[in-house]
Amino acid sequence: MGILQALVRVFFTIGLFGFGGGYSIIALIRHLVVVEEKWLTDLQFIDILAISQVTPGPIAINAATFIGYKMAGIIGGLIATLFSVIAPFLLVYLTSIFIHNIGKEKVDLYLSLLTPLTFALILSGTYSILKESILDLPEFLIFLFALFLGYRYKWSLTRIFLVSGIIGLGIYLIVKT
Amino acid sequence: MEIWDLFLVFLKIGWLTLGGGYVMVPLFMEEIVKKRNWMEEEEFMKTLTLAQLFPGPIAFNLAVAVGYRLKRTKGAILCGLAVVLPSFISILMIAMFFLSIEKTRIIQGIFYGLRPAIAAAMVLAIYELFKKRKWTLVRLFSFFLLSFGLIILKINPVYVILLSLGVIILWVFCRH
Repeated sequence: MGILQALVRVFFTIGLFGFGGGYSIIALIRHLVVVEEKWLTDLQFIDILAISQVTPGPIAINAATFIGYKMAGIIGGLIATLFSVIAPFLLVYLTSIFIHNIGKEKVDLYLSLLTPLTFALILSGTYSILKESILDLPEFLIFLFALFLGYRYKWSLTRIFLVSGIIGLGIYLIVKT
Repeated sequence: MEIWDLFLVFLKIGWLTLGGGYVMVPLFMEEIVKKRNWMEEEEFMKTLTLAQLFPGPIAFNLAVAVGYRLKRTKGAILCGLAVVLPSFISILMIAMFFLSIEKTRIIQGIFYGLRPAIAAAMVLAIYELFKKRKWTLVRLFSFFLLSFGLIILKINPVYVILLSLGVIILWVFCRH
């Protein structure tokens, strides 16, 4: 099967099952792209996540564009991006046409019941990233430091990433020669 | 209100928000309800409810739903595009640049520090979200069960999502 068809299939599936949004979609993308298709290594996947977080727009769309481009150039990026939103588009669009009033209580109940699932998905994504991103002592210390800055001083993610990137670069250049 | 005004508002918010997600929802409300009066707050909340029902990035779903309410099919397509375009263009430029310098020592060094920071960001997100929700015994139990299936048994998330949705939809229908 051609790479473009594979991109269509994988990103359509990600769009169709991307419940909860944000971090909860990471486990799904990783399973399809890293575990099943083997398009990326775990480290490459984490790097793409890092880039997606400091770029405008939803993580799922950013990751789709990046992975599509990496696999098949600009056409690949375009196809992966479009197909990652086609299922949500059709669902929202068709419901907007046919239903004018959705019971808020019912939806709130549904959303609160969805919580265990989205949490399990986030936990599973976090587990795989923890396992692959902390491979030696300096990385473990950077992890603790980032956790400390975010928890104790409520630093924004952008600032945490900036500082961690600089520290990482320093250690890498000194230690890994 | 012209359809292009609507497009530009969504484009502007799309460009301004790093990482996407629920951060964008109050920004949409500010622009569409408070600043421009294109929609009543109540109608906006109804649209948000509809957007939350489905898979997909909330900012995208909300843009499509608001676009449809205000300008029908054309609005839905254009507003959806307006959320996707900033992502698409900025990631495409970064990807071209990144993939050509990926192997350099500088980039490897920066990502050596970024990877554990990403892990920390996710741990923080879990903690913040966990605090905010109400946890009944049944929900905690299903959370552990689902996590066990995903992490230890390594079940395909698609099946876990399908099974959970089936149970949830049955539950909602039986209760009402």
